Amino acid sequence: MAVAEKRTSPNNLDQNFGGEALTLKPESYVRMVWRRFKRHKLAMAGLYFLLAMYLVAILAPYIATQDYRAVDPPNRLKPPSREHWMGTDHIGRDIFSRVVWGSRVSLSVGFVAAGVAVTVGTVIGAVAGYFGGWVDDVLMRFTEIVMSFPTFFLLLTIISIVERSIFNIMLVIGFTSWPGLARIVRGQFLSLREQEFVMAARALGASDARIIFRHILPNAMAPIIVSATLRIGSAILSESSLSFLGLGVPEPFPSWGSILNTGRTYLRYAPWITTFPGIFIFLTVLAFNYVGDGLRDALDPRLKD
Amino acid sequence: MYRKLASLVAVILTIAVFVTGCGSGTGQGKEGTGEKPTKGGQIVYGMTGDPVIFNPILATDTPSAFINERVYSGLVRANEKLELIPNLAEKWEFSDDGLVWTFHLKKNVYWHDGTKFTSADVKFTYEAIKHPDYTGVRRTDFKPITKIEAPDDYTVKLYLDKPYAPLLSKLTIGIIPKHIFESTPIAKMKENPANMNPIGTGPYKFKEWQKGQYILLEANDKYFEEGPYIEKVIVKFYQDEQVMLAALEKGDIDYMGSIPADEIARMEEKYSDRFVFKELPTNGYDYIGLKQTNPIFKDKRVRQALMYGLNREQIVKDVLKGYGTVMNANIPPVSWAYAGDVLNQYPYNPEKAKQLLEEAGWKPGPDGIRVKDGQRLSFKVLTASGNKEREAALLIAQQNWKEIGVEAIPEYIEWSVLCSQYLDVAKFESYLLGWSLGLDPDCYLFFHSSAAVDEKGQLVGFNDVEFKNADLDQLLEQGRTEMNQEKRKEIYVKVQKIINEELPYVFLFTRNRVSAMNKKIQGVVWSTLGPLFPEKWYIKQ
Amino acid sequence: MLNYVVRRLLQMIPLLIGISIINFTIMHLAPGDPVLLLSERNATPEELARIRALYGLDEPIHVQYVKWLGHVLKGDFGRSFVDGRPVMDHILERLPYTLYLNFIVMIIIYLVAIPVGVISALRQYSKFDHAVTFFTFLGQALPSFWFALLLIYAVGIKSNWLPIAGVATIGVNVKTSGLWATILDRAKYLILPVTVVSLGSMAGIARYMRSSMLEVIRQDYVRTARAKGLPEKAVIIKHALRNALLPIVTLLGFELPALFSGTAIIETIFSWPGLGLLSMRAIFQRDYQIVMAMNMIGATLMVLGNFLADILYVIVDPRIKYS
Repeated sequence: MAVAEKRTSPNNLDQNFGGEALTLKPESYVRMVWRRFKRHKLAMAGLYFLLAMYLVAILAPYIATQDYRAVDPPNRLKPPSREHWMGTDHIGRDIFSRVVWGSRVSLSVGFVAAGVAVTVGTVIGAVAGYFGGWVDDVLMRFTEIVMSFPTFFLLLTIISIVERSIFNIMLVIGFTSWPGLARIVRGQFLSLREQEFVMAARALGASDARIIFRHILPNAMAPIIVSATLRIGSAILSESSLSFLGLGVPEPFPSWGSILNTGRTYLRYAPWITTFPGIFIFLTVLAFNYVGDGLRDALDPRLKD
Repeated sequence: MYRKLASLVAVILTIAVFVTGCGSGTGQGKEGTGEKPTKGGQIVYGMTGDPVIFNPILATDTPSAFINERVYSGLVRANEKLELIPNLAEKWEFSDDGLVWTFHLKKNVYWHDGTKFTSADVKFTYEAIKHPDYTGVRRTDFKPITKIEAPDDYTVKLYLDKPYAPLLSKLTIGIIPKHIFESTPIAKMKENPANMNPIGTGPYKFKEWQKGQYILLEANDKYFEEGPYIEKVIVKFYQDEQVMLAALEKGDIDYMGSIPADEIARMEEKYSDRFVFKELPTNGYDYIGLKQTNPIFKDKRVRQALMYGLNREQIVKDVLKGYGTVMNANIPPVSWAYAGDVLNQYPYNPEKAKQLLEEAGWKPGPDGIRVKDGQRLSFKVLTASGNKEREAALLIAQQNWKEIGVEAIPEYIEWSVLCSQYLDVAKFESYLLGWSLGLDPDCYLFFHSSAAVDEKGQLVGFNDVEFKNADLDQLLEQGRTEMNQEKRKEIYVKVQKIINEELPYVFLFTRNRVSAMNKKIQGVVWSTLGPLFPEKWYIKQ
Repeated sequence: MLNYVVRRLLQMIPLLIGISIINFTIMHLAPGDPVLLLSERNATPEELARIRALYGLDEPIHVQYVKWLGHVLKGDFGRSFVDGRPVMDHILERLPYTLYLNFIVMIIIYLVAIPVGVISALRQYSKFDHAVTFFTFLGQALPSFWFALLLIYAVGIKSNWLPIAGVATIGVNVKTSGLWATILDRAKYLILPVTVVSLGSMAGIARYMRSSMLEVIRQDYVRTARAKGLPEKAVIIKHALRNALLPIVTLLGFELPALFSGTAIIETIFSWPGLGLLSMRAIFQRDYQIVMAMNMIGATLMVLGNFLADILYVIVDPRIKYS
């Protein structure tokens, strides 16, 4: 998580959930959440922004005006113009096209890394919380061990020893940021497994896997969704921090972080190289935070209509 | 490892260049302004990174070397022409067979703690390097020495197993004090506290180190030669080049060794009243190493086509902003052995490149990439991630070569992985990196066939491209045993001609760096390697 | 209570052992043999073997681990591969700078974040609240290195008195320049790094305070206090604020590792000679002994911090029963 680089801020952003089970029917529940979410204007703005960004990422080949790899040394460090909407970098590559393609790289790094973190965290938390006993002990001790390492340095250490590919970067960011979520999910499971509907399912002879995934997990989704949203943003920031230290997604793939990093040498007289990816990192992370915030409010059962 | 070699060589170079005595350095300042140097004042250097260890036989990094070259002295040192001149040694002679070298030491030399410097210190230093427990990077340099003798306090005799001319340039290494280090076993030499608070014989004494911030050196009043004049030397450490540049602009530091190429024009325009700016060619070059045994590169015409098909002038102009020179062989212009115009210059000529490829049987394929016997003319170029200039050069090469029907696929690999999994085991198709070179033009370890891969598959020297050429082998051997510099130059010109024709590498460029020095510092001798003889500098009154 | 403390302390032992095993394993799985750091690139296998034996690297990994752990328990983290100095020396000479920076940052964060959080909770969904939310999110979303570099160029270079790198002016100390001049000098160097670090971290605390406060003012006892007709000020300060601050107190436990952890990027940009720079340099140079020590100490402090936070929580919140 990027916050690791900003001193440990207590991660309780994720934790303000009541332990109450959400036993409403899925459809009406989703509709209710959506209605509440819509009231949060900034969250809606964030959502629209993110949808637009994902669209850009998907349609990158059609939106980019030039080949993001094409170097054109005589036209290096040119300010934004009609031909190069965001200017060119130190070897004359078109920043606009790189930012467009970079959205693909950055968003997928964020998405996959968060996906890995959420999957690992959810599975470990769910299994620990559901089975309890020694399983819980072992898994939670392991979680605590991983959690105890200084996150950003653990990330740096591992990144510096694995082969640096975009895939590894996603995995490593994901694998170093799951423990917080595992704890939350475990907490949810601990309280949910005692609920009547779980008892009922068990009495009907449902398997453990079925109970975990069909009965309890849907009811524990709220904090997972919020956490996943926030985590995508922080994974994007993590990647850009790694890029700053020269350990991010390697060339020739442009990530917003790596474009920003190449431009830092030229910050003073070619500020457009850093400005545009910087703004996109900033806006995207901001949008994820607002969406997360909106989701939290919308999903919080204590906030009645 | 490359970096290690590079920095080791940087150490040798800088030690040689900066630590100084008499010789051609004397007299400047006086001749320029008629002024007499005065004592006092201070100079503040800016450096990036942090020094590691103040022991010349263990240090491998540039910041440590910078301090070491002011605190320690070696037997010899280089002047601005890269010639080796006396330092701790007053004079030396070689036996006729070149196997016994006798050094006569200066008699007025004292360690900073007041102890007298003698031949025992020299013997101790060299024997430490040769000790099996020594953990440093200079063992190879001293391998030809079989025995070191100190017949009296001011004489040192080196016995060699075969004549080895490059050895003299290795003797620029700083001598360490025996009386401080002899009580520590060689295996534990790194643990001696003197490495952090060094005692040397150089012009400046080590005074204070605030870790991560600055180092303070003070003039050594008992220095064995003229000077030093400037009383205090402060070296400030920055972690970021851009921040250091900002510090230079603010006037926090008086000297910056290498201004980023893109900033030079602006700096020169804005601060020409405050700083002297000097453009200095460096002793190294960047290249793309081609695996000679690879079916694609086996044919000399393909290698030559890659040279003709690459607009190296443009790389120098755009990537280095013109601060550099195109290289056509392996010895850069700063060396006394540089061959220059007699070499084929391989001017950018895509038509000629295409023609050579046609002759070699590579015909354009359906996707524009040439094909021969079903194989596409496509190869990977590895490089270490993080060096923007190399990344840029590689992207230009990729584009240029595409135009002649050659596909180069850049791959950026983390440094230590690149070394341990590709270069050190000599497994790659091609790679782009650079060499920093020593004072001596000897390049045996780079291109001699015995420095390639042995029968067990182990890389012996640095000939990881596995270039093998019998004529070259013979010349490289001669170059090492011939002691006369004129004759050696002839040998190395021939070496460059062969390399220029056969092309184990695609040679790219050598960089020029631009240094800035505060104008108040007088008496600086600018050479191709940087500002020389710091102890003779003084502050303008 | 004592029982609980003892039990928690005992639980830490397997945790710390687990941490040490993972720590040791990661570093030893890393490709890139540390022996190569200590020798020439073209060293012969025999030479390498000798160096390996010299540093005990030829022994099986579990033997190396047990030996390392034995030393660590005695407070000896070994010596740096790179310069041969004790790892503890490296850490101790950097620690004061990191503590110094983080301590100032912590004070500023709490001084600003607590009132900001409280006010924005009291005026939930007001303009102020939205502005606070925006600024805290901004702090979290802004890449800190970008912000730091912008500050250096926008403020540092233009102003003549604001230093951009380092911690103090050489030669300015209490002896030569007097107390006030020295304090002023040190403060100047703190401005930029403290600004960058606190902006990023303030967000979390302010949000936390806000939600803690929001939770408290919904509680029955606050309603009761209001219903009793107590003035709003008294309700907020006497009842709500006091209770809302309780969870913040427990955060002090988490500050323990935070004080110790350097911020690599900020320290790089402002040339701040702290632990972040040390760790980062060690990671890049593969100076395993230092990396392992930093990870081990960081993790241990985190464990202790969690423990402290739990204890504090139990102490400040009478509703929580320890079992």
